[in-house]
Amino acid sequence: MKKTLYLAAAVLLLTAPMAKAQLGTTTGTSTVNVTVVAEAALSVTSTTTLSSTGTNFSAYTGSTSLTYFIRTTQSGGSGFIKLEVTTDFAPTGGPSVGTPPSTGDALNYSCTVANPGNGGTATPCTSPTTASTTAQTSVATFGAASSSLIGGNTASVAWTLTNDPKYKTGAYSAVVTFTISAS
Amino acid sequence: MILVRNVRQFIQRVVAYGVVMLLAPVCSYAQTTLGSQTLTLDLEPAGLLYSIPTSIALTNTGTTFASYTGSVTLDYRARTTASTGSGTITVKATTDFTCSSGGPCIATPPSTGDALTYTCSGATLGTGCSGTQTVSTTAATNIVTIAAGVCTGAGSPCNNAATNTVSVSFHLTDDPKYKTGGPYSATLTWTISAA
Repeated sequence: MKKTLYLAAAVLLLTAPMAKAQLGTTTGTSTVNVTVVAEAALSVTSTTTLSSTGTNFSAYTGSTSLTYFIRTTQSGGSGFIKLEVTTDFAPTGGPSVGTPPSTGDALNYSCTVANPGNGGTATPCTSPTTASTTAQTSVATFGAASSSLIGGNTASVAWTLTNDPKYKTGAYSAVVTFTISAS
Repeated sequence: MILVRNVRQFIQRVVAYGVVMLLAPVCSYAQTTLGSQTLTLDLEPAGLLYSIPTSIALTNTGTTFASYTGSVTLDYRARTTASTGSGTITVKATTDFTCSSGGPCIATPPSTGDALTYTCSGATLGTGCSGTQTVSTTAATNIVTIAAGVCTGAGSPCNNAATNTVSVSFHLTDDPKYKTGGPYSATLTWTISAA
């Protein structure tokens, strides 16, 4: 046993000086990995003005432009754009989405949406759709494997607001929140 | 008989003493000056990479098509010839993403403007690449340029200090055209040279 230990120690002493602390190389490789998932993004016109032509209480109209970016899952994926009036018209005395001054007063809209530029389908909302302060309502829906252009694709919402004589004169504003989602 | 035995013993002792006397000059060390030698060392330029990361993960935050990003730190040592030498660290995509699968592609990007790019910072020996560089599958592109007559370590002559480092930050366009899936993978080859 002692002889074996002495022999092992001798081997270690002889080989230790030959060991190198850190080996370098003139060339090496790395693998770059990326996982692609469903995504969606949206840009919206910041302000839309509703106006009425003439003086015979024709409805106020206006249009909001959107640019959407979307990628839905190849199999079983979907997506949507929805809107909701998150802040009703103010000040009071004018139009209101939540509590219209007269029966029949409403903020309605119709939708147009271009198909995703790199494949897939987009379906616009049914027209007209009544905007709500309590729930999101549809602007567009997307199917599986929908991919927009890298610069986005277009959509728009055309508004119609009843011109009720009961509205007091003045300027009124509401906030509409658009949401896009993809899976 | 006793005389023979005594003789044998005598002879044995004489032989033993003789062996000792013969061995003595061998076992004892006489000192003789044989001469002197001059040692010379021809130090060649050299460059080595250390601790190369085996994988680089590119990720993005949120779901709004922000670019995928990822970064690495390269460790290296280098020594270049005085006055006329130079050195470089380069990178090349030696294996592209599987372009036919609908994900990113370096050689033939799905959309104009798609690219795997990188920037360099913090090179502690030499100069890191300037601005945004585009990774290529056909040519090595620059990470660090090393001047003549420099070497790893501080002082003069250079000492065997810790390795030098450079940070490389990658960006990959998040094109909606990429099909969901992955991980999509490409291979980057790093090369260091010194002259």
